[in-house]
Amino acid sequence: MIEFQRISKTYPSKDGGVAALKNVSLMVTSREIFGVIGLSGAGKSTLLRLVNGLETFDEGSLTVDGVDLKTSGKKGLRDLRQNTGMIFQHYHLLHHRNVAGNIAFPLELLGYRKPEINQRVEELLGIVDLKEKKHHYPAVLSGGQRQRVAIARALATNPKILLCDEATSSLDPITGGAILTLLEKINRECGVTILMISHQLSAVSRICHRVGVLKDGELIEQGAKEQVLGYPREAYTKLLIESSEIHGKPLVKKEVV
Amino acid sequence: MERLIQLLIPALGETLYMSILATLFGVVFGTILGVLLKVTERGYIAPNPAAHRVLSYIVNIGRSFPFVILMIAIMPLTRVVAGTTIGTGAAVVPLSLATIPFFARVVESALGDIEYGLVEAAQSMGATNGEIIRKVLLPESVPALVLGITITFVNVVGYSAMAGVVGGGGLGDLAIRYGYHRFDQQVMLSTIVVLVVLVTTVQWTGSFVSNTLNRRRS
Repeated sequence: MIEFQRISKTYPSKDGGVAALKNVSLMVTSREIFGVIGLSGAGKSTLLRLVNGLETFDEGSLTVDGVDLKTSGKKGLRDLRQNTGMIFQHYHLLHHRNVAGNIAFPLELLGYRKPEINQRVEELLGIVDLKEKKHHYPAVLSGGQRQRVAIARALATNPKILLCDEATSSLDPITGGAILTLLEKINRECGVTILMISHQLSAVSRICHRVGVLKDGELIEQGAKEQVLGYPREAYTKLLIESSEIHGKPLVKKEVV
Repeated sequence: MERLIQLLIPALGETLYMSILATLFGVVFGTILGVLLKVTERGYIAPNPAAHRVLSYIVNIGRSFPFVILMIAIMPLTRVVAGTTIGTGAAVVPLSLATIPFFARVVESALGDIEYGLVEAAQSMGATNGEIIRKVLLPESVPALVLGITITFVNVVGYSAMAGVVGGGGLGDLAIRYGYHRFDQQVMLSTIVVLVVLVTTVQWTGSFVSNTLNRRRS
């Protein structure tokens, strides 16, 4: 579904440039939830933003749902973006539109008619359980509710892929947990492939099927969640896991493997 | 009293005519210029450093002219646009020209206050630059723009006081001709009162509208 092949990216700077990604190869298969974990500055955000062309890369190749991002062109990129939803840590809802208006936004961009939009908005409000907030403005919603609106908006065009950029990182554990449960439900029931990045190991370990560990722009380890988090090969991964353990209790039960 | 009213009413009419028209032109063309200034900025949605620099120069030059000088300096242009260089209609040309770069900066700064994340969210949904401008940037900045229009209008009313130089009339002209040249304190004071009432009303309305819009959003 999403295939990174030997991707490298360097941000230009005065002293020659900062490498954000180094030779990253990664394959996200259809209908799975893939999580990339790493600290701030490891290149997670860059990695995710490459998928819908918010960032470009220097070397390697990236194919998303059969589209080669180097040769897609403007039209191809626009089509790809309309087939790929994205949610953000800070939600990024439009303040001048109410909940229904925000969810309708991507549908308006696609030129849907009013009745179709209204029908789809109702469906989506049902999925994210926000029917009674339809006419509220984002400013009066809680963080969790705003993220639900953002999820509904991202799903409006029935995308095959959902990109999650630290989607639960500014939420409290309970609200964040509910959002993760919702994402899992969307993956299971709507068959949406999810690529998420987070610095919270708990978020990744909770819903991802496979995980990758990004350190200083390099993908140092990847595989099934139970394997990477249960039997980490790299010292860095071990360190990440140990710092997330509560009272020595591992996040993933080793027997699962 | 009747004499005062006979003097004030037409003068107020001229001031309103000049200020409203100039603000209108200033807002329309200033918005276009301001949007172009913002979007061509480095790292924004249509980065174009060369175009940005040229536009920025034009705006700075436009804003550096003292209004009295601008009015006289652009007379050839005024003649082309308005057909004459004197009168209330002719004064609208330099007033608009002074307002456009001012409002362009107002727009640029209002757009700058919008979180860039909103733009990226729209891009992630496949929005084109035109759609981002029409459906994200401008509607998101409406409360700030309403305040900006208010400030601009009050500014234009101030500038229009100098329109007497080109026979534009208006309250400022009345105050100078009667209040200053003829030592008619009654006219001077009543002109000031009318201007204070006008500016206060406009400012109050602008703030009210902007706050109402903001309250709905927050």
